[in-house]
Amino acid sequence: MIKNIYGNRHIVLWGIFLLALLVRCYGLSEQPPTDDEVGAASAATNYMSHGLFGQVMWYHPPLRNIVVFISGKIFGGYSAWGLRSGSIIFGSLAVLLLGYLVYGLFGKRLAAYLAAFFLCIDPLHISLSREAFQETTTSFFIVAGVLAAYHGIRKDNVFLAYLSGALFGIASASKWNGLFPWAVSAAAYYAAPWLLNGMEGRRKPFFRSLTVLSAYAAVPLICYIAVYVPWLLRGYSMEEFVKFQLWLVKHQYFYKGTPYTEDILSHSAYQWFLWPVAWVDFVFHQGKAYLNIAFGNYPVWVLTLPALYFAIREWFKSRSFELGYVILMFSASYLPLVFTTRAIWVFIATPVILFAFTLSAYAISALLDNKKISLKFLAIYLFLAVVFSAVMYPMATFGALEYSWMKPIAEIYSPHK
Amino acid sequence: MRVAVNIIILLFFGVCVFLLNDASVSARRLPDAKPSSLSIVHVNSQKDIYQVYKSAGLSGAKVVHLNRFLNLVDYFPKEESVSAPFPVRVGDSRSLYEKGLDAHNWLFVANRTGMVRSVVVVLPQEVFEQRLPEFESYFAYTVSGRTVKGYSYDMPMFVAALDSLPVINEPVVVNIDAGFFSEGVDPAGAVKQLKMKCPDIRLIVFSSSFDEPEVGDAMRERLSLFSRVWAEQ
Repeated sequence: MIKNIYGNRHIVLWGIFLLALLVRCYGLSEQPPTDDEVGAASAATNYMSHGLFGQVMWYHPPLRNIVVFISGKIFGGYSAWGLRSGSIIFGSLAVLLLGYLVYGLFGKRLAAYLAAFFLCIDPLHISLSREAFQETTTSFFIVAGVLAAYHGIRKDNVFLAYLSGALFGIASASKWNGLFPWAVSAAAYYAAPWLLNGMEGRRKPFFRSLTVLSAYAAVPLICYIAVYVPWLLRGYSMEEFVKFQLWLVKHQYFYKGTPYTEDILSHSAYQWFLWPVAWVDFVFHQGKAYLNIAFGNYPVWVLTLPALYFAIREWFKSRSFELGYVILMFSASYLPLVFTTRAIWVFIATPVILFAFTLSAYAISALLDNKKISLKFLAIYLFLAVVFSAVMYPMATFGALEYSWMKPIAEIYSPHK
Repeated sequence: MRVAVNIIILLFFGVCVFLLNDASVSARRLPDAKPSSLSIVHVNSQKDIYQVYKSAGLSGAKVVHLNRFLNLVDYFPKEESVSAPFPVRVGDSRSLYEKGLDAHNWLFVANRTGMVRSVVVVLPQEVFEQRLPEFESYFAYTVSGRTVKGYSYDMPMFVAALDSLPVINEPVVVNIDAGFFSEGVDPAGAVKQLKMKCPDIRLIVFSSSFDEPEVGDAMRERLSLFSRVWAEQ
């Protein structure tokens, strides 16, 4: 029976999705709203009513306002569910789609299950799914965009290319991390006839460029601009919109966080896959202090760079389009964050870990196929990853001050030290 | 077939951009153009200008603001982002912004409440010179020759002295604050230059700035002279 279940990827992936939903929803109402979440609620209502950006992360594109507003409408107000359901749904669905993406790319069930499972139990991703922010929404639209883009290329289906462009436009309208996979997918779509067998007939630069222009420029831009309609209706022309986007680029480049995030928290992306790095939130709610410390799942994150090395080595042997596509996706999503001079906190990693986990899942699956590692070894490794997540879960759900054994870690991140 | 679909999408994109631009520009609300009787209002304090805008029903206006201050000090209501029990209650932020209105932030608040979408600040020459290093040192501004372009939050702003102010062809609202009239400013010359550079003024507000300690009686006298010359020309 277990073999039958394992053989049906839909059952397994939907099972992992349900688990993702469960760990993201558990005790949600007991988690107090942070100051920023209250600001996000106000921003959502006022953006939709008056086109007014709120105070919280106003410099990011405003899709979050729309998602939180719709979520609030569905749940009849900004209860814990009304405020956070968008993040939870998109965060959980990203787990499911990542599984399908990895299966589509490599045709390996184990790799698909591992990638989805890694995202499912990642404490940082769980933590960000339980707050009313744009991180998990962005990741969802990125993974959906890549899924559509890949099948669009492989099936030579232009409508999937349009869909992919729309999804990347929406992802970028949530946060600009969507721009990197968008650019890679546009380039991959253009180059596919020269890289893939059986597509030689499509080697027509003019027509290919025309499709890229419509699918990966016009369609995503329409979606991106549409998200700004409430702001535009404050009287801003399209020329002013373009200049505003340029101002936001400059603002992002020179952005400085609070003294706490600049001085106490790690803020360099190169550290992410080397040692544990945390994102920390705290709130004083109704006379009680709550602290949230969200680490990535270190046993999983630390595999990323060896897996990247393994994947590059394999790519040189096989010149596989799929492997090259994932390596490029990871590099394009990660390296700009490593080399930028401004602070980059680990909560920004969610779009990157999609591809990091894909690479790790691929590497584990390939090593298992080649009998370089045993099933027993994999089982022990997964057990370790689950234990790590289980231990980190209370900390990543605003419970870091609840248990005495977490005190030493909580003290490291105390804003009062 | 693919070519046709692509071309339709590209055309659709162009039409969307055009229509959206048209809808956004049409959403601006300024007093109608009345060449024979321009709306002119006199107020005593800087923040009274805000109430004039409100009475005029402004929305998405471009403001040309002559003063020695930018009047763009940031103001954000604290109530908007302090943890509260579920369900989080939110209201119209504009009223929260209005509660914090003062002499130095009223133009910033007017942007937050949607009445003003962009501002052109015209400083007296010597004030412009004094503030130039400040503009040069902050990333929100770009200094180019004798003009400064920048942003206050999401509001585009342009800063210049009257001499270097370019011609503004769109309809504008003009504030003339007594604080603009430093000793070296010639009111009659300023009228001439302003009329030339702002050919489509829909509303003009004169502020005596009695709420501003740095503005003296001599400045207010020059404002009165400016106002008389404006009415005569």
